[in-house]
Amino acid sequence: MIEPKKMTVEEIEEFLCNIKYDENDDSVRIKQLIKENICHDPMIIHVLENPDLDEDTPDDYFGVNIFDYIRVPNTQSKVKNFVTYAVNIEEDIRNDKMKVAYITFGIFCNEDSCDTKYGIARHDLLGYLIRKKFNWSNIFGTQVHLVYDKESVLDIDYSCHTLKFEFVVTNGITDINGKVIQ
Amino acid sequence: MFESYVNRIFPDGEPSRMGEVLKSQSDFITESTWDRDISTLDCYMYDYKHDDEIGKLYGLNPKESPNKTHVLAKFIITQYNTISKDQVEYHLQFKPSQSPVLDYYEEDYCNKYGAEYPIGMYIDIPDRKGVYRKWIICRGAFDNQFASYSILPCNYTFKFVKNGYWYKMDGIERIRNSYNSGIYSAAYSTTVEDQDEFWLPINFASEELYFDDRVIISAPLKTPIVWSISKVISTKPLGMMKFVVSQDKYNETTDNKELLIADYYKSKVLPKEFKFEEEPSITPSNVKCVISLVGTPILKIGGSGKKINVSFTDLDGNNVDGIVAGYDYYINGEIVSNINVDSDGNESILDDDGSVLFISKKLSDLSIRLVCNNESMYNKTIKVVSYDSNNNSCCAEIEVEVGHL
Repeated sequence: MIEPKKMTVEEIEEFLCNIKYDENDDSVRIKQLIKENICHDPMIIHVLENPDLDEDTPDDYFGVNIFDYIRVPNTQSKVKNFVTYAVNIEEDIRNDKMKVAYITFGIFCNEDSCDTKYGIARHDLLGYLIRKKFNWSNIFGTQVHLVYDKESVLDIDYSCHTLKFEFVVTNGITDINGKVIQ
Repeated sequence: MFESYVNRIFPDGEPSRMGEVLKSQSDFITESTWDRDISTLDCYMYDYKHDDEIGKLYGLNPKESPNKTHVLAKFIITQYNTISKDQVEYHLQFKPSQSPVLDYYEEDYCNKYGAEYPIGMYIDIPDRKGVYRKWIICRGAFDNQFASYSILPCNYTFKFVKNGYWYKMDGIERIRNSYNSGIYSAAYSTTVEDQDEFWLPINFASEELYFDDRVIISAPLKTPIVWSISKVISTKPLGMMKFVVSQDKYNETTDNKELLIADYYKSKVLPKEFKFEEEPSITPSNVKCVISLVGTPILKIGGSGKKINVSFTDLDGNNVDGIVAGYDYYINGEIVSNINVDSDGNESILDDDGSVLFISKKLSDLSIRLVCNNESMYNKTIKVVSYDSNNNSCCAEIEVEVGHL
């Protein structure tokens, strides 16, 4: 019988904190890179327009205006705008070495906040900034292509802009310990 | 002799109509017979700020309180209780000659919230045994004659976390009929579903409560019942805050079962109990220090940092110029002494090995930005104590939790 490895709570916490840097898990790795890139883009932060927060500390927008899942949690009682995103590895496997990953951005802007002084609707403006940031970039290791760009309306009060990026990533040829799988 | 009689019963001048005469005479009779009426009671009125028995709803001792103001009022029964309906209201009639007795009401409630005296005030009323119970004046009276106010007894002490403090406030839980089964089943899961309502007097603390804020309204059960605010009503009438709540899930990780406070353990920096005497310390020079930050009190490792602002004000709240703030830093409650200061005034907080734990970048004389890139700081707390660097006095402190981006 294999004895389970005993870990202290501190060791478990440290392990869990470092998972986001593990390059073998595409969902976690890609979402972390998206988070860092959006949080450090002053234009996206500015266009999100949250007077309750300080643009100099953009981390605070995460969990308030930026979510790493396509859903707006909590009751919305104030005019707010959101950038949400999801990562999917779909069954479009090209071979046993490479696979196709998709990032979907859902941009939701409140109807009272859609008009901007820049002459472009806010959800289109955020869509532009996100497309400019990620399209054709190598942020995730391989080149990213925009494959879907659609405007729509959300169920209540929000205008929506959906962007979908496609790129190819390695297909799990290393395990979590970095060993090459034959 | 006749003139003095006229002046006595018509202090505002001689009336021009018979109706006014009768009205004045009625007031005069009410006034004259006031003390002989068995429903006349010695009551004590006050607001939340002057409530020195928060959490106590019955068996109060207002006569000993320096903060509660004595008023004479008649307690009038309007209807009778039944178990099948909510707590019925009673009426309170003040002595006609009695002018508004709370000097702070106009500034703190009329001007600030548009409330009309004395709505939203607590009032201690003795029961038939002479034991005082806490009530709230919930609705005003617009009658021309014998104006009476609707009152309800406080029946629960509400506790909630806001801005790093937990507040305790006596209020009224009202029945809200819910005709569902109490659970809702979706395709894959089943959740709780019920609703309730509570009322609080409007003030600086209750106005902080908003949508999605969680409160425990429950007896101290093994699994307390938790609620989430789903409706906020601040009118009808101005002076009270009414909250409708929907049942939420008890979270053993973040809710405090012993104190019955929801979201108590949500942050590593535990909320402090709000006490009125815990005002920022006033120095002999009558300058006080206020420290604040924007957003959540979480400093994220690898993030853009947390900006901390300091201001020095006089007793009227006006900024005092010319003071440069100094800072002390504590990690998990222990003061840090190993600090390296560069020529720009930026401070690097070092551990024993000399590695940088976090940096305090000086933005101005009154603001800094904490930046942390050291993974070993995760799950720790940093307390920043600011003071007047000219004379090392006038302190204020704020605490942040270190988390991950």
